[in-house]
Amino acid sequence: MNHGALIFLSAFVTIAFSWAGLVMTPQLQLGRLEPVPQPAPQPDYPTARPGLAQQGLQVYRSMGCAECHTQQVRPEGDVERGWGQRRTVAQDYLADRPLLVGSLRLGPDLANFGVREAGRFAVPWKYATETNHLEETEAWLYRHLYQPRGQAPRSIMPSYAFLFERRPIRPGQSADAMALRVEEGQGGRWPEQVVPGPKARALVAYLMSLRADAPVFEAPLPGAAEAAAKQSATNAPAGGTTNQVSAPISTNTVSP
Amino acid sequence: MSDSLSTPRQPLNPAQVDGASRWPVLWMLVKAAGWLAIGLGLSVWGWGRLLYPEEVGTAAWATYGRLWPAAQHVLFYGFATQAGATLGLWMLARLSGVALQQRWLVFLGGILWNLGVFLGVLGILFGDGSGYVLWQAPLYGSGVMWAGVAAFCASAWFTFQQRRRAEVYPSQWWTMAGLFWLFWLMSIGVVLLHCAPPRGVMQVVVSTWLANNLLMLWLTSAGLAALFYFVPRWSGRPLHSVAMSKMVFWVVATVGTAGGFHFGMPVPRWLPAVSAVADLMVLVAVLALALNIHRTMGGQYGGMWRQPGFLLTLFGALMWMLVLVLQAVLSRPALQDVVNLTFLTAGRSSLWLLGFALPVMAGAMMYVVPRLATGQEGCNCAKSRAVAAGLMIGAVLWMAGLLWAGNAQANALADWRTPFMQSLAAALPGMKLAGLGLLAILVSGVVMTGALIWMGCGALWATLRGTVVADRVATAEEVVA
Repeated sequence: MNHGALIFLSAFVTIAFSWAGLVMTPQLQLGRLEPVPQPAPQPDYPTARPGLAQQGLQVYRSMGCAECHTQQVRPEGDVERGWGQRRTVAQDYLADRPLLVGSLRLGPDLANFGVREAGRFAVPWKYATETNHLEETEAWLYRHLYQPRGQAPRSIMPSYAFLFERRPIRPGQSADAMALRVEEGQGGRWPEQVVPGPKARALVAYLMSLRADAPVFEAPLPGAAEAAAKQSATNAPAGGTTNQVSAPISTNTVSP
Repeated sequence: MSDSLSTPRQPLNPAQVDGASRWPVLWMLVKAAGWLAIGLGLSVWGWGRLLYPEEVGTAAWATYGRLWPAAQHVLFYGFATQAGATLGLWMLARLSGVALQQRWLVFLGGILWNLGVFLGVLGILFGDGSGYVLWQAPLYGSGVMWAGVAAFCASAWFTFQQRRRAEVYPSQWWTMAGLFWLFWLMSIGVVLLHCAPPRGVMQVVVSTWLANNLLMLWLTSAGLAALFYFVPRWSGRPLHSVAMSKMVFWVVATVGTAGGFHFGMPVPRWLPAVSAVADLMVLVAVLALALNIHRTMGGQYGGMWRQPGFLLTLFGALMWMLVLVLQAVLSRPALQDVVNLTFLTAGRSSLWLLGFALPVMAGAMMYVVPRLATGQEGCNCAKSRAVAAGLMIGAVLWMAGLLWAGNAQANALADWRTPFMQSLAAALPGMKLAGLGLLAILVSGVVMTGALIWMGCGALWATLRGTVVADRVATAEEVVA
């Protein structure tokens, strides 16, 4: 190796080979993945997140949430833990940019946070009502962001109180429905309420939009195989009229 | 490419070479040391925030989610990469027997690089971080750094072209190849993670490949270049086998680039399978390096206790080998389901930085900076020994703490019936031990930084006063003449 040319050539060839094999080949394999068709009237999966949730993804990135939280459900243990109905696959991530799947679990996995039951949280809790579970989960999330140890005493999550605003309650006004706390005014001042700011609302909208529970060919939902076999035996038309357990639709893609 | 050996000229002696490279190298190494202190400070602050989170009320930039990526960015780019590239340029000039060429490019590259690191850390702290491991800086930071590394590469190229020795030494291969790899990797990061990111999981594929190769190709190149230069120099014995050094180079350059993918990631399953095989094959390089160093030392390790820099360099080599052995063990498919997403795998980049890059670079800086600043050898005083001991003890505690925490996490998460919060509680003692290690590294790093900055400022002051700093160091003008 006494020639500069040989050093450069070897450095170039080795990294080019690695690049071609480990980046370009997966790109050829996965780069043309398309959203998975779902039984009507559901849209293809996954769809782009709504505007506020899309803003929330940027808040999630900027706060460094992925330093402690993952968004990948593994086949062993995670499903039993209640973090998802099936393992996550490449199709689940088509809509997100940047894609932050995380590499360390200091907090629970969030891949299916939007459909997580109260009893499946890291510190389980109970719904107060029979029907307003979505609103209750959102309210729980706001409280958790504001004061994590209030919801989960041993949590090491930092407080995101800076995402909340203190607003005065002027005479004739009532406290905001989403107010976390109302403080009496001191020295003749108006009472103050703590309400979620725009970033907190966006972050919560993003977290509530997280769900990887649509059936895909690579990772069918539990019971989907039996349903598919039953349909096949009865010569029924493909797809279903319910959106509960439907047969996976092959996308002819490679299983990750 | 035509080499310059057709018209052989007498190689310059080391003092002449040092005279020419003195200011750019000193300037860059002092800046790297400054970033080291800042990066370690951010690390300790971030880790402290993780262990002892505040109840209510803090600033967004002072949360773990921003402090830790900022610390990693500063340590990797501000310290390790800057020190590695600078030491590489210095070794390149020395081994080529020629003055560092196009020094203005090194100054320009240094200005751009440090500006990029500064913009990057500000960007991360104020919410513009990219979220990718080891590529956290926003485009306006990493783009400027990319221009800086192009300037380093150009200066290295010109220096190598003008070399006056026929033989090319292992440190020269590593430096030249490493800088080329760094430029390529940063180009990919800028284009594919900032400007035109691919869809879906391809972002995970690109960022994982990039992070692995920033460690495996670039940081290994910078560290082993220093190792192959300083071990023979400090031990006073020639390198045992150039062939073994070549073997290490080729194994790292070929199979080393394929690591980093873990089973369970949402990527094609053949990628982690290839990574697992590559991690195992890299052990050939570990074995070759261990044998080469052992034979070079001739089994006489007594000398390393008399030179703190030597001790640190050997310690860094040992940690490189340990981390790769650990990586090979943990990449077994049966283990991956358990250890993934715990500190056992996520702590990899910090182990490379604090266990391998920091000791090796610190050891090399203990050799280079005193020579360039004062013309004297570095002292074997109590302060140097304490710094070396602190860095090594800290790295061992950090590694032990992460292993403890990761193992506890893995065991708790493996059984789905175990409540999640229990995995956190089980990991906390290990995390606290790792925090102690980080604290030891911070104290030692700050003392070392202070000493290096003091030396650099002393040299500048002496030059401004017009006094001769050292008769062993020739001026750049003399070399050119």
